[in-house]
Amino acid sequence: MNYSVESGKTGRIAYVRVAPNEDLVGAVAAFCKAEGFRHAFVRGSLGSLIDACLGGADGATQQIGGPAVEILSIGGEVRTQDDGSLAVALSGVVADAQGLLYGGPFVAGHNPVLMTFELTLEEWVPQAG
Amino acid sequence: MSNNALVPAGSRLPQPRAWVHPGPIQAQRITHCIAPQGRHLRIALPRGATLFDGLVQPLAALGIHNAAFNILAGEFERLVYCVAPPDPTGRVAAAYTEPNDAGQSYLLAANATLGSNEAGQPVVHCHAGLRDSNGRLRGGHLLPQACVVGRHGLVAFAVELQGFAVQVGYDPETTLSFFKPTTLADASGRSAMHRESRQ
Repeated sequence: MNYSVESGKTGRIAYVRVAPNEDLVGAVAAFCKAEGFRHAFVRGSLGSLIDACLGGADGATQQIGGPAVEILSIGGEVRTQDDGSLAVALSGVVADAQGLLYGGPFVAGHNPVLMTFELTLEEWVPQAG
Repeated sequence: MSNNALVPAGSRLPQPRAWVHPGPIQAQRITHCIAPQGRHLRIALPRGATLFDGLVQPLAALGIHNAAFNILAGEFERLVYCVAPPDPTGRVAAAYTEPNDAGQSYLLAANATLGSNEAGQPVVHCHAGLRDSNGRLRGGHLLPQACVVGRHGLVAFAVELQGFAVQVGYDPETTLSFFKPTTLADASGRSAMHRESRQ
């Protein structure tokens, strides 16, 4: 096994409000790009979606119809790739309008915010060398 | 979309829906405040504490009034939550139901934000997934004042949002009020302008 361990520290801490109809994953990427967060840990975030789209097994996706689909718990990270592009991986647990639960990774471009979304992002600063 | 659906691998995903809200679209789509750093804290909530008091009071004692929480799983003597189906009046996109009292339940995972209302009083916005006393998995928007920590206590990790405020403010687009990042100058009513992301 080749494990990869990266030493680093928490940098800046951002609280971000995303407005209606913006894509959840796209908003995280746009914010990080604009503010120069090369790497970040997503924590303590919540809000509502019009509909949710979660990745399932074997490349299938699960559509959860709203409104509102509430995001109950979410986590993930943003990593700048070697080519300078940003990779955003977010997954979590959502509830539909009846309160039934679903979970999985959020598919980029297919999770539009309904009312508001609150994100807390911690910049991750790898130790040089 | 009226139903849930599985889309097989390789199939085209439907275009995401847009929602037309009653008010004018605001030019600022992503607003934020950034702290250069913030304290990280672990809070152990005792049995019998309400979720609200258990999150607010220990931080207030440290002078912290704005924070984000990751709440770990744990038993509750009582969990109360709302869900948000479409607003039957059509005035807004979705409106919270009357509270569902799940009674003695197990909280699976929760995220929360601590901020304040216009009067400066603390507000906790918390969403959670739970297993109710019948073993059903449910979730939604918790009513933190009505949720009571169970016999083994509860642990929450907090990160301080330092140097700015999270305040409830009116949103002209949705015509509802939500938490917004607010500079301390704004919070005390002395000046204007949230910072905006350059997009």
